[in-house]
Amino acid sequence: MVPEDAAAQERLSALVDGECMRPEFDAAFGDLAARDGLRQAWVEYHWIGEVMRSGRQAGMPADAGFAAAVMARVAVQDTAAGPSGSVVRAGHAEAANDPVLRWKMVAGLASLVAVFAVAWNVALGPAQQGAPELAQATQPPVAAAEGLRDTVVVTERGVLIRDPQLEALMAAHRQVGGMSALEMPAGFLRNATFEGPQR
Amino acid sequence: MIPTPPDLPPTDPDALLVQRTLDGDVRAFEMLVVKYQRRVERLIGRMVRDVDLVQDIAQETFIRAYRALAQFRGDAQFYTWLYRIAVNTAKKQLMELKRSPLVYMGALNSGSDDETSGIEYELNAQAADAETPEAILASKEIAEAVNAAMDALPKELGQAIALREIEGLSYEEIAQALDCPIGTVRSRIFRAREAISARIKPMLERQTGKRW
Repeated sequence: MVPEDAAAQERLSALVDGECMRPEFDAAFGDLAARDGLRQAWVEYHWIGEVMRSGRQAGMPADAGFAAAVMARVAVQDTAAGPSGSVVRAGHAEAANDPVLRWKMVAGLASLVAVFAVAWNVALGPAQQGAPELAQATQPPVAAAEGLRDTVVVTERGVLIRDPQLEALMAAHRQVGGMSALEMPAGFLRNATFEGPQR
Repeated sequence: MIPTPPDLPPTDPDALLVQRTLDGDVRAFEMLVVKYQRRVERLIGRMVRDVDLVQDIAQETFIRAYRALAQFRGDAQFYTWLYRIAVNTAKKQLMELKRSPLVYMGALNSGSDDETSGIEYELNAQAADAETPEAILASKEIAEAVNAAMDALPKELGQAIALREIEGLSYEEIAQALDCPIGTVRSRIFRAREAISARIKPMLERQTGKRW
């Protein structure tokens, strides 16, 4: 072996160990990329270390066919996107507007408005609360039924116990009685529906 | 991306190869593929027993790594990053194929980020089960040949390479341990590798056929 090759191989050996100075790295990489013999040495040097550390479990050295297949696919990738194309995300990537202060201010302002709106509703107290009051407004029949007792009714299909509160509730929601949410008349609903004459 | 002062040794040659790749030299990526092919295959081989599928997933792993290379920031070791991609690729592939991994699915969720060497070596014996008897025999023969070549090395060469490969010492640390200049350490390690390589080369050519 000529001295130049030996020097290149020694540089490569140092590169395998991460012990090349930066200018040497460039030279070693240049040699490595240009000479098949050095690529073989690159494979073997790494593999020898693996065998020394893990014995037969290191298996065989890397084969050229695998790398060739990967690099053929990489060549196709390059024409499409390239390594910076970032089609696949291995980790969390920053949003495109992440460094823009304006967007952060908008988000902060929106949060403040939301907090203020919630605080305003709480500060106005129960008298001003809309939705619960609406719900209560539909409840007078239930309230009116309070104090009534359960009654037992004997029908053709058996004995029914009529709960006055349930009766009042069904009266208030008559429009949704008789059919389930699945548009199927369920057995329970058939029995609980406020359709007095049919029961 | 990965700043390295020009007068200091790079601590991570992988990071430099990544940078080279990002600069447009795909040969640098090929060096990474060659370096990590077997480790990635062994890792996937613990989840999938189908040898062809292992190869496919390993290939896909490197392709995904290549596509996402710009996102590698050098915070972790390159292999740690590659390991995650390999595991995710294998999981995805298994889900698509609706197969169940046969060996230690639990290892996927170990959360070990640091080289995963513990899991790797713990499970290696089981991974070997997926190999053919011929491959196991060949691996065993070659490992014995490497050990024999090590034993045949002159003492100073054997010490230098053992401190490097087994103990993981830097050239500077080896130089202190052996009381010699760093250049001598570098030369001894290279000569040891060459001696071992010369001894096993015929065997490798017989076993693997195609070379580089």
